[in-house]
Amino acid sequence: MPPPPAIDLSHVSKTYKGKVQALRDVSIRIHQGEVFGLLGPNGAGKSTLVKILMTVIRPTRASGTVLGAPVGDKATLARVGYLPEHHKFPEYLTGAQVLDFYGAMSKMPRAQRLSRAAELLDTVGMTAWAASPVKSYSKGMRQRLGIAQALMHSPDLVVLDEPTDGVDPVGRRDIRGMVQRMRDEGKTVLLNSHLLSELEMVCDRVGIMVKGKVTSIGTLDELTLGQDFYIIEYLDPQPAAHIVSLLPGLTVEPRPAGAFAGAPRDDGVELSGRWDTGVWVRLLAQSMHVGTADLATVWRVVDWLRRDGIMIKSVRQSRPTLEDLFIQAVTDPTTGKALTPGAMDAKKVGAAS
Amino acid sequence: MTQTLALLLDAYRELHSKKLFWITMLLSGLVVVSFGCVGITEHGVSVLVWEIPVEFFNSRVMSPATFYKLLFANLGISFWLAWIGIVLALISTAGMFPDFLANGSIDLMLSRPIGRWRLFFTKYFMGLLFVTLQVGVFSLASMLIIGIRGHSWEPSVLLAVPLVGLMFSYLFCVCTLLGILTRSTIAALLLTILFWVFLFGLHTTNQVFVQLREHTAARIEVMQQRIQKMERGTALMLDKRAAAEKPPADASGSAAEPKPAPVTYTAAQLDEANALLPVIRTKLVAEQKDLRTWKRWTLGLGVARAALPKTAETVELLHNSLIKPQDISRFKAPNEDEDPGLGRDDDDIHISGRQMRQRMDELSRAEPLSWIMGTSLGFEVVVVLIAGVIFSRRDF
Repeated sequence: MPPPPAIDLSHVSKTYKGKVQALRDVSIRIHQGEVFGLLGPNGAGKSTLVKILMTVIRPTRASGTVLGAPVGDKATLARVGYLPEHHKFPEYLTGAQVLDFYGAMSKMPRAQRLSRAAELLDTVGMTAWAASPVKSYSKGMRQRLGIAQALMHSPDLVVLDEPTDGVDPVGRRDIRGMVQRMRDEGKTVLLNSHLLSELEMVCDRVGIMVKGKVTSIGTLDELTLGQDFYIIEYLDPQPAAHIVSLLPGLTVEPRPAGAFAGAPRDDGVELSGRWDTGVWVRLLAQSMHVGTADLATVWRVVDWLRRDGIMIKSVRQSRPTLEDLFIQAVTDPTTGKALTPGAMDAKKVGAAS
Repeated sequence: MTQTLALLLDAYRELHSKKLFWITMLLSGLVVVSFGCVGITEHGVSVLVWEIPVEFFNSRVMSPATFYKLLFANLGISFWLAWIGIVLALISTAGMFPDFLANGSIDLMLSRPIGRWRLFFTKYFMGLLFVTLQVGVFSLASMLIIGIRGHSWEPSVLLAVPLVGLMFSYLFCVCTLLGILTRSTIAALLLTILFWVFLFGLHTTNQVFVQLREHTAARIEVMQQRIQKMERGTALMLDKRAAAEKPPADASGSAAEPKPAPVTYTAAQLDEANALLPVIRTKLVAEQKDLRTWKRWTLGLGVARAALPKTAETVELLHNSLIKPQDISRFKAPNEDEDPGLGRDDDDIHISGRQMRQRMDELSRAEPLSWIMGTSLGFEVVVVLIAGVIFSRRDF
């Protein structure tokens, strides 16, 4: 029997007093021991969702569990570590005192706190600064200390909201290493970040939130399934109309939403078309994109081109990155333009529905 | 318990980090040291080795212990702790809740296994720690000074800790509510001080009205006594006049004739006989009318103040418990026989400053503890509950 999920939320909604609908019927399940990345544009509702989990915000409606207890159960928070975005520690405390204080607030006995604080300060590379007041810390040092306080009480679930915010590349690498160690220790990590490359490197699964809703969720493979395509690059520029004439059975028509979702934007695309088999192509001056993972189809296209004497520079497979998926998620499929950032106005939502 | 201790330690560290806390502590120390430098001798007041002769203020008028208690109550408590100390405490603690509620700070606290109500109340009581510590140290040092210099050990001095603490708490609860509502230290501080000024104004107005009421009542009492005296005198005069006008009785029957019953005169008869009586009676009616007006005003103010905290009265409780009327019965200020200047000095009815002070002192001592503390604590409970409800239900 599989272990129960670390987070199992269903129908979470939050409408603020100003009638701003931050979350709209969000359902999400995060498995034990996985690193889950939550991404989305500003105002998508990521922080609201995290704050509801941490009881900082009261949901308008929510059901589900966190570590097996109902959402909002205070006792469970003793098993959850949290690093808020833009966290602020009391300036008068030293690094060691910060860990001791928040450890005590998580009900850790004093003897454990002392040894654990020393261990974590060492882990985050802050031992030398343990006795210095927080007000003398740089942004990166505060972030490291923040991660240490989130881990102070050895939680089963760690929620990190923008952990690499303001951290230099070396610091980011270190934080990535810490997240990987958390996974190795069997902890569940919920990572909320704008840095998609960071998420891509450490997350087992990701969820994309747009305007208060989870639009897609899964592993990177699952999310990019069916979106692989091949790029055939010519040695010399070729007119799109000429290429169309070389591809038998191709019907020229505008590319529908969804096709080549992970490909670069349409800048430079001269024509697009489709075969009866459902395979799409995009024609650019220097290359063409063939929307299939089937190599045989690709080689057939290459043969047609070479038969006309077109020199092929390269053929390579391409798959969407997390950033591509993100862009795809926040792009209006009908207009092709980026959606307006921010949460939904409840009145507008009501009118639309 | 671990969490409460952690919050307590954190509150101490926060205070420790504030320069103002130590400045206040230092100033408190200076005030206590200056107490120790001042003394009372047979001829007046001494400052270190110098003696200043004061006719009406020396050890023949009051004991050294009373002198130090007076110093402690009037300067130490009423002036230093209840005014300057409280302002400094408010400045130091006004930011406690706004800082606590700041983004990034509150998230770290609310995400702990601790209920919002418990967190709120613990934080609130930690805020009272500032004044408790300050007053505690100050009172203990003052008790030592009174003991060493006045040769009287007065543990009642330590009553300052709960009483000044309570007085501060009436203002701190308002500061907390405003801090939670506005999340601004400056707004919370300024509005709390404004509220305090309002309370002070209301208290002062009430004191003035009560003093006017009591002054009028005292004048009425004097007038009534004077009228009674004048009536008796006039009646006696009428009796004598009647006796003089009566024809002499027979010499044979005089022994058997019974003594005539005393004659009762009507007010009109007395007024007719003594022209001053109707004048003073008219004045009495006017004074009684004034008294009814002052009573209405004091009652109205009393109702308005019923729901508000009694900061000044709370401090007066301490003063009254420290200084008994008999302690200063021999003390007489140079201008005490003068009229306190409340008006109506156009006649020969004179109410001295001493009389008024005694009357006001009696009234102050007669004010029930349950009224002063009950209404003030009631106010605090309501304000704290409102603040608590907002804190527990707000999204951060």
